[in-house]
Amino acid sequence: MDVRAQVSMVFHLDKCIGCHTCSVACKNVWTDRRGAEYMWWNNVETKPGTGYPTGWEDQSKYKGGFEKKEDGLELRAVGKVRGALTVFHNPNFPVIDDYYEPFTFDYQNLFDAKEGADQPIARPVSMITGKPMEIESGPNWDDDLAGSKHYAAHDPNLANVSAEEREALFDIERLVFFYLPRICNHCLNPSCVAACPSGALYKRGEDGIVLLNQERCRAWRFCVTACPYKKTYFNWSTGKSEKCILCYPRLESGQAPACFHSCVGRIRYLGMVLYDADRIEQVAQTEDHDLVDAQRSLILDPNDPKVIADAKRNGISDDVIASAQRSPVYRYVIEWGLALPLHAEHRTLPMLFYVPPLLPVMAQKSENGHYDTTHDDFLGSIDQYRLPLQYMASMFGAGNEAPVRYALRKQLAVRYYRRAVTTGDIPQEQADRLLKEAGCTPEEADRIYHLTALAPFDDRFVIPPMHREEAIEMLDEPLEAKGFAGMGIRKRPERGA
Amino acid sequence: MANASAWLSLASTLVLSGTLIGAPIQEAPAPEGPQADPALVDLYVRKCASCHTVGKGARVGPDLKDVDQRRERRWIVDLIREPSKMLDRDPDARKLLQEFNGVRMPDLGLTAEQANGLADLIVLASRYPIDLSPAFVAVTEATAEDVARGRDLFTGRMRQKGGGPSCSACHTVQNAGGFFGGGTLAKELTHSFAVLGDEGLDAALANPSFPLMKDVFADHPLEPDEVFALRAFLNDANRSAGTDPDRLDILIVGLLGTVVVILILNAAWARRLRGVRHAFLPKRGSQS
Repeated sequence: MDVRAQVSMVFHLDKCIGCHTCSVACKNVWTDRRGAEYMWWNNVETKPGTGYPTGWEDQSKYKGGFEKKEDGLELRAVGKVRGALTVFHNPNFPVIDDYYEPFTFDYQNLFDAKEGADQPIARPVSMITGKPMEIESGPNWDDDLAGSKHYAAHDPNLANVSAEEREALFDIERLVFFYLPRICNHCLNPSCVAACPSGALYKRGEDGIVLLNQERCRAWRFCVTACPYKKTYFNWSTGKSEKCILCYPRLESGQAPACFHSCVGRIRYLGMVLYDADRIEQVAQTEDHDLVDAQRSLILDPNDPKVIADAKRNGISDDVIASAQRSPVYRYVIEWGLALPLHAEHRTLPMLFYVPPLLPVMAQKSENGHYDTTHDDFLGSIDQYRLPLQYMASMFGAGNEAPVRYALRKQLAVRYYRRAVTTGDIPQEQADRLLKEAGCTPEEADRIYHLTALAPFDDRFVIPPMHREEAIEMLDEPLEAKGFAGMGIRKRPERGA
Repeated sequence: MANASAWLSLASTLVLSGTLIGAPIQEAPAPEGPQADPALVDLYVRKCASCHTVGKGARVGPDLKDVDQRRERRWIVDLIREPSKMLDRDPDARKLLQEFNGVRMPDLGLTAEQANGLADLIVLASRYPIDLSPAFVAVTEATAEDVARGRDLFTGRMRQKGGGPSCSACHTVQNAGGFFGGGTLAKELTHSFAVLGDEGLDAALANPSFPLMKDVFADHPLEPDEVFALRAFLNDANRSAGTDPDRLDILIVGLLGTVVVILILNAAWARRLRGVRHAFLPKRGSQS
């Protein structure tokens, strides 16, 4: 058993209000630069919808991720042979229009315009060309189902949804949507790392953060094609690719990443998990149907003495193991089985997990055209779920409904249970029965409630001590920097210093 | 193997040239007066005879008969040794250059001793009948077969026995060498026969003294029968060639070729990603 540590994440979609605060926090910290204007390392999408870049989930077009072949995994478009053949003309790049052309407004005109009969206006100006432009698109253009006829209707997850259900989804009084915030998944089997011809991308050994070395990047942009989540971006100004760095400078100083820290709905959880690196190759080749469970089986019990012993042998320190034992991610993903990976079928083993949204199951348009908020059993049941389960399974179950159904059922049971506890208008027996059916105990339900609804800061973000000094010692000689004021110069600039 | 055959062909060339060039001089009836050094005669035949005669009239360069009476000895030797320098600086040499249509005498790479010897030989040949012309069969005796063989040698369809590169690697002759013609590195040779004449061409081919050609063919000389065939071909080319045609066809083929290549690339990458978002939207102007 090759035990390693990974900073892992959970996003609780039932709590996301789609305010984009996370996106703005990230933008202000990291991508407010020339060449990076169009990048949103963190973005929030409306589902059903095509997201950002438009239709990123459709791998028949973007060709991201791995494909399972007879003799193992192969990158869809930029494997060794096909990548070499198309190295100078990769035919699968998204174009800027698929992201959106970034724009600002010519505010100066409001001050400088000559006196005239018309009110001066601030025309939109492209941040790439600097010329006036027509705004045709944006990073959340289909927010709250805007233009759903053109965008949401093309959501690739609707492929296996029946025409009847599809029609119901977009029926004017029955519209339903939820939000999906996305950052880099910091996968265990990252296809961007596998695709890079320059070896610029790497997964940090001590915490599993996937980073892109700006000095080694040679602008082949294979990572852009290879990532099935389209979470690496090419900076047209520096000629290098960039991606989410999980705010590692913040993590190293004990702070939550900017998007986590700023989250209004407190939907984000972060913590260390221990996993078995020996089994990655085998698990990544599991059949789609079992992929989600297989991926979760990679994550090891941090309280198991054997795991602890193996972790220590691998140089994982005691305080990191202690942090993994407190990890909220381990609770959601393994203990409670509530959180699921997004699009596990691309076999990159994403380490960002989502709790599927329960959504209000109440309030549907009834036969007589009125909103009917009553149900026989108050909150309704999973069978009355307003989004087709097949749709959710396409996103969170690699096509398999079972793990999604399990997660939704448990959440619903916990809600009944808490209702019974707090208001008493649900019979205790009914709540207990539902809990039992969902495979949950009252104690577990209380813990789920606590971490979901109360979620104190330190419970949501269990940031491990990053031990950068240990990682640095593996590559550099710290004594060489002795005498510097804690800020030695790693690489002297050419102009001299 | 290749090396051995190269040596063999070189040896046979030396033997042949010995019989063709050396033989008449040795076998000629002893003239009155002093004998010429056969080595010098051989040098003259190889280096000078392609452009100059002694007493047989001007060819590419002037007739050298009695040159010692027109010029100083030092001038003659300097010109033989370093013609390029003389042609650049000496006013008399420049005048001659103008007179002979600006055809510059190439540097021959001779030692001072050789140049002095050649000057002596020219003076000697001006006074006494010494045969300095190479053995030679006029091209008028050539058959159509010779012309065809010459064409093949020129284009490289037929390999030279000495293993030298084909003429068309550097030269072009109108209507030879297929659609794209020959090389453009060296002179266009369609009318070379008219410029150099039969004998001049013979010497130029058998013992080339042109800067690059001299080195290229030093170890791979043409055989006399090959020289004859090439002369026959160049004579034929000179007569049959018209004025230079407009090569518009190359431009047209080039443009068509470009279009074909673009079409092939387009077909090869037919399934490339051409943008996802726009495909979702109604066409501009249509009611949605």
